[in-house]
Amino acid sequence: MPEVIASIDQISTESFRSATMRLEAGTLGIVVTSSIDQGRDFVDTLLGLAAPEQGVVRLLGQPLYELPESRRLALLAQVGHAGGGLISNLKIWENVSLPALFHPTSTPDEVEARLIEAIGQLPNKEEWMQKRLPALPDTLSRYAQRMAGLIRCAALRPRLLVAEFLLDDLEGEAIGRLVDMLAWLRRKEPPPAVLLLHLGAATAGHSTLQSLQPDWMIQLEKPTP
Amino acid sequence: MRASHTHVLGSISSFFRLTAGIVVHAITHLDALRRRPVMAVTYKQVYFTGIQALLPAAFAAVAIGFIMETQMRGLLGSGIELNVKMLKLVVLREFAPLFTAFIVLGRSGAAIASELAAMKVQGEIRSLYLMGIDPGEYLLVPRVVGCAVAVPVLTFYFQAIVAGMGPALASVFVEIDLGPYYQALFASITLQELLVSAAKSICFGLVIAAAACSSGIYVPPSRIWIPQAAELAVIRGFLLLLATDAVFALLTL
Repeated sequence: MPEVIASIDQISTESFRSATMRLEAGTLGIVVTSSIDQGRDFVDTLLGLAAPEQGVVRLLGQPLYELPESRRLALLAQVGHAGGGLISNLKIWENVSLPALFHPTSTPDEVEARLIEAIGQLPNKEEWMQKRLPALPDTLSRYAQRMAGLIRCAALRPRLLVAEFLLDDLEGEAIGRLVDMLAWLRRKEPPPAVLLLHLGAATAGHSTLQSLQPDWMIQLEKPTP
Repeated sequence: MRASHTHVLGSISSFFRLTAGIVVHAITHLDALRRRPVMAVTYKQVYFTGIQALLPAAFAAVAIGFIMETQMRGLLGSGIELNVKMLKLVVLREFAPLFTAFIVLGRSGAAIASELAAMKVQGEIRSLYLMGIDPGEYLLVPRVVGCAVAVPVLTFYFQAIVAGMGPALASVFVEIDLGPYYQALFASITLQELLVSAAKSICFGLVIAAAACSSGIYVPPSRIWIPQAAELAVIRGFLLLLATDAVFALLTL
């Protein structure tokens, strides 16, 4: 029976109501939100930043909100966060290695090898090595910032990968490269569970989302006034 | 009237609690320095607060040493003993630590506060948390430790330049017999005085970092608060430095 990496059961907050999902190892789930804030609220609730009004959140088998903060943070060491969240005063190479080096689960040599392997998947790897890694996040395009988030996950080898609005507001080629990198990450052992957040309506014919072959897709409901 | 007094007192008490809390948090989480990224930020903080301040501190030290020396000659005459005593008590013991702290507060304190406020506004503190990184360990510990290390070293550097260059430069304009002057100065400095100066400077470093961190990290998440965080850090830090200096003055009576 596959391990359940994250689950929420009948969770309600100020921005969504009665959300239920269950994400198993190696699977991909898509959560469609009606706004960026709603999506962030969902991620915050799932990862222990904002206690829900009702319901239970379990991460890696643990009831998240019953744990002390130190144990919650220790669990988050196994979670990769992509789609943003780069630290503005760190260069890209510092950003992509930050969580993997902060949590002493891998040696610096292992982290470096994983980073080189991940960057090796990119068609413009020379450009990444010479121009993008030594740059600050502000100087990168939106696509490159999101790719850096995925590379950061590659260095960490997380059990759960949360991709926050990874493919939104991008053009075809950029989306294709991010999807390829995501697929490559999913082939790693042990395969991570992937939660992709997407802005819009689930029924709007998102061919990109369907091409990812998600195991499930849910749309968050707004709370009734 | 009473309500506004209560509000002001409440704000002051809240600021003191937050600032003291940051110092206590940093001291009780020193083991975070074993993590490579935390140590890297600490090195950067020492570099920015200490190494990059060497030049402005040197200029200020030369100027103060020269001004004090020439003014003291005018006031006290050419007697070596009295001049050395004044230089030691006023400049080395009081002025140098405080002036160095003001330089650090103006550079690093304002920078730390605006940097942390910007990180908060841009959602980077949330990002750190989502990566399982305790913002207290990653952001506060390196800044507090970095300032607590850099300020005493910078103060010693400042004192050395004031004591060394001040009389030397002043001797071009007023009559100073440098050999006996330096001999009397260095003979009069005791280990206890150096230790008190170091302890005071460490406290100044802690105060500057804690005031800056609390001003930066507890601002509302709005862009307009970024410059205000820097301003608050400087004003609060200035008042706290004077209060800390007063405490040391009482303790070393």
